[in-house]
Amino acid sequence: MLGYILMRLTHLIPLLIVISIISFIVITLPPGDYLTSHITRLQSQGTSVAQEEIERLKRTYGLDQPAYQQYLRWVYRIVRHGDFGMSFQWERPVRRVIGERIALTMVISICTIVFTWVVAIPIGIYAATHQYSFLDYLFTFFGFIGLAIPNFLLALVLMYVAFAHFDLSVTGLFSPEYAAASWSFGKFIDMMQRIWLPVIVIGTGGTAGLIRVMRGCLLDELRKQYVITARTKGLAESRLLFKYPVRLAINPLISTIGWLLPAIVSGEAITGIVLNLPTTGPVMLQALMSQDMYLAGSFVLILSSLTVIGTLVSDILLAWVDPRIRYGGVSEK
Amino acid sequence: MDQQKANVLLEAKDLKVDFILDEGTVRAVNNVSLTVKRGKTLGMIGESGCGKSVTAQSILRVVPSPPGRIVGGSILLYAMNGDASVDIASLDPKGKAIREIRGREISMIFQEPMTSFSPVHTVGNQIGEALILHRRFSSEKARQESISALARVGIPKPEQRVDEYPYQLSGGMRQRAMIAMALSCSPRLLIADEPTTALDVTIQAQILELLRKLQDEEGMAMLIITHNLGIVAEMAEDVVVMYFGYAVEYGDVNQIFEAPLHPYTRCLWDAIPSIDKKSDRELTTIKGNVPDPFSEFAGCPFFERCPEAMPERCELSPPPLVEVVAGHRVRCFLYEVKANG
Ligand SMILES: Nc1ncnc2c1ncn2[C@@H]1O[C@H](COP(=O)(O)OP(=O)(O)OP(=O)(O)O)[C@@H](O)[C@H]1O
Ligand SMILES: [Mg+2]
Repeated sequence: MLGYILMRLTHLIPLLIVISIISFIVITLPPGDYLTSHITRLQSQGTSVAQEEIERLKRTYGLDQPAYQQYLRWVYRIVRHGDFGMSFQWERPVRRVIGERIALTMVISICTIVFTWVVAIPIGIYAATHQYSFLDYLFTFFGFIGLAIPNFLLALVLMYVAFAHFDLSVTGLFSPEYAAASWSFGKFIDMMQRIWLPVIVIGTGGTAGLIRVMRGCLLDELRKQYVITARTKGLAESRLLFKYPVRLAINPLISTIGWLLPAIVSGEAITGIVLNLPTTGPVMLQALMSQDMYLAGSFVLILSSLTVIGTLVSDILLAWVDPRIRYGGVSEK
Repeated sequence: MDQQKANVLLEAKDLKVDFILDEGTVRAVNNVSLTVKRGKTLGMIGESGCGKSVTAQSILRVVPSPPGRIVGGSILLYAMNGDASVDIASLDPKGKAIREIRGREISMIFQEPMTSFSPVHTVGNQIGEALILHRRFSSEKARQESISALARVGIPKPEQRVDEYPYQLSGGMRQRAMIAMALSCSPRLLIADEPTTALDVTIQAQILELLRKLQDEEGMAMLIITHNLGIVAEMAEDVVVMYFGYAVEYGDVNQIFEAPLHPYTRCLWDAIPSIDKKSDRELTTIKGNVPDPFSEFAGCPFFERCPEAMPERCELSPPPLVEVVAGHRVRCFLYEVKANG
């Protein structure tokens, strides 16, 4: 097991290098850069920009150097100082712009994942073990509604209901008195009181999907011979259910944890905007639209790295729960 | 007669099992009666789809339900000594009473040793489970017991195998492990549903040999389900022949092999390829096909394929069960005539 993890970790390094190169290429690919469009904007407003001023700006941002040098400088700073470069638009280091947002996004996302699993797995198990029962149909019905409603719409509806019926204003993650305050226990409590709304909004679609997947996987497993074998040994139904088929049905779901990591950062930009959340989604959208090169590039890099790391985490978890993968899987029928 | 009764371990009477499907009802088991004697082997033969597995599943109440349901009859399991018996057919399939029987009184092994094990639990874990459950063993004691169970079924290096996963074992090994698992609590009846069909011929012989040896040691009874007449001839003391959910003939192995009564049994016998037959005639097969599982018959389901069919008679009403010689029963009109003299 340890050997397996080490092997996978060594494979990770070249992959991350390739990813950083691709991220950089992607962000320099579109014609023009932030500076050019910035200068054009200034000039169109009638402000003349002196040539030496332009040169100075170019030097500060390293735009006068050849691309590969810009790349090397960018990567070197990330590795040495955790410095992702400057955001042109915000005129602040990228790290300052997205640092807290990433942390908050993570909090929301992890809560969402927990919410999704805690709600979906038991319902999926119930639906599979009571196939075609009234509740199974009911969950199926709500499941499809949950899948079909776009999150931003759900967000608007919930906000309206909360405001109209409970006189609650639930946008943002903090109430005004805490928004600018530094972290304290009070601020944490304040966040917890508001976090449920984004969690429900973001988690509904995933929960509905996961219920379907869990139900389907478990129905498959329940038909398998080993379940009957276990039953013929005299095991009680509930013990049997959780020891064998549920355990095997959850295995494929574990691989989905890997995709959740990048979704954590990129996901839910629209919900984030609608709910006015201090998360990464809205910022990323802006950065991409205004060609804020280092900011956008950092997002691409972080997202891709998270994808790779997420996949690794999934694989390790899978190997941990499934011996067939752990031992290099001989598949034999 | 009482003497005979004392030898009976399990007795199914007029067992009926239906599968209610969207396309219709499959009467998988129709008024099947059979007797398993203590310490003896009953062989069950019949073409694919004739209800052998469903009969076996009914005995442990593991018929998939829905769609399956026991709709009639009884399955009496007699106590160790004396007349006390439980009717398995009337138990709650999820209840405690049947769970106490499963794995302890009656166990089962299956055709597919690969899919019969959970792929993500060790062999030892799955073997020891019944011991922890029925004998209240600690997990360490169950593990030790699993090792000796593996040794008893002839698995080399059992102390290493016990911690391995099923896919690390070969097919024959897995079937041995399966047997070790089924026998862990020394059941009184072992049901083996085509235990060797998935294995190659040499391994088949070894597994059958092993079953016989263990039967001698344990004194347990067996119900062996198979397509293979050779296995029945070799292993069984009694035989039941199934056709389309009916037990068409029941008797001891000599009666069935030397004086088969039902036309279907005779056809089966004629269909066995043999060296002397080859010279003068082609391999005989039974004419026609097994009927569609949804079909309903007013009379004998074998009528259309039967070489000795009596039009009118066999077609219109179900054939009676006739005891032609003591212990030799057949479901056929041909013998009703004789019985009536
Ligand atoms: N789970 C099930 N759902 C629906 N129908 C079933 C089910 N199990 C068995 N049947 C039906 O019951 C009938 C008897 O099946 P069974 O499995 O007992 O046959 P079998 O004699 O064991 O055949 P084989 O030799 O192929 O194993 C078949 O017609 C089959 O279609
Ligand atoms: Mg079968």
